[in-house]
Amino acid sequence: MSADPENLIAIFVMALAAMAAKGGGFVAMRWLGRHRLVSALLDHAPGAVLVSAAVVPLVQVGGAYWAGAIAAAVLTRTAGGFTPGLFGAVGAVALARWAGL
Amino acid sequence: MSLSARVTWRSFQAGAWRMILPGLASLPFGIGFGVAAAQKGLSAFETTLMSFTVMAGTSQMVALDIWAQPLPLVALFVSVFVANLRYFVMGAALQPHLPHLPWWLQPPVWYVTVDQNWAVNIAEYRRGHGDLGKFLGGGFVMACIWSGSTLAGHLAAGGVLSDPTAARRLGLDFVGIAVFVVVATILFRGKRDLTPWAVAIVAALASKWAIGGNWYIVIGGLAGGLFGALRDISQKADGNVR
Repeated sequence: MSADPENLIAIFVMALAAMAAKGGGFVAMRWLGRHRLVSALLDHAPGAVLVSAAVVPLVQVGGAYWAGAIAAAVLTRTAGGFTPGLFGAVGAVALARWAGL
Repeated sequence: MSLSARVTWRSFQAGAWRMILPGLASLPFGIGFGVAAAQKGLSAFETTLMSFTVMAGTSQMVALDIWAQPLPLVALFVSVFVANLRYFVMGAALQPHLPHLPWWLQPPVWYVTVDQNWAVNIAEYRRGHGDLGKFLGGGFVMACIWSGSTLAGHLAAGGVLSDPTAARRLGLDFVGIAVFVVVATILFRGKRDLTPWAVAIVAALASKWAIGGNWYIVIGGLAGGLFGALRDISQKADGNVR
């Protein structure tokens, strides 16, 4: 087990930056959360963040990922919940790749 | 302590169990990062420590890119902060559900705010049954899997583990995206969400095309959120809210 002190300082700085980004929004909301626009924005932000995070890889990879996304949405709606949707999505991607998509 | 800030061992375990599969999605990326870190001259201990304390793969990859002696500390801070700006939005969305969180529990909550763990837990908070224990347990297990995978990649640098094709064949590279799709399906409130989500999708694709990098999550999230907020406010002003 070896560690260079300069590397350890850099790792500490990186951890601090990550925590600043993660905690910054949380802390800022204590003051901003009472504003009507901000609370309305946060009512819509989670869904908007999720579809934004999903759509770019779906478009970039295409084929198998679309099969997985459709399976995830359908199974979550019909089988009701997180686990069937997740496992179904992974299975659909594996099947699609096996089928050459 | 308010109910939303209570943590039990049982809920911590439940949160940890359910995030094992999403955590495994980071294996190929973690192994790849471990290999890259070894090539940059970081020790196994430094690689694992970085992964456990920073716990944000993309920003760690960006940092490796500028990792050279003497280490540019300011550039490292700025690049990691900017690469993680999406967590700023996620943290802001989380805070209204934990308004009375004690100060000493806030840093652990910030730490476990990572993509899939946040997505699963914000869905539960919005439906009125969020659980801080599950949030912390899920984040802890994801941190362990991420750090372990980077260590494995470091130890096997150049060996069989650095080949991510096996995980790809099994569809495991899709688990992270699958979590987003599943949680978005759970959160979907019908017609009310259609246009804000369409705006988010268009903004995300446009920013990916125009700017590149990971900005599309922040820009799409803010654009969709802002559109929905302005529409709701104007409908309320007109007295048209159904």
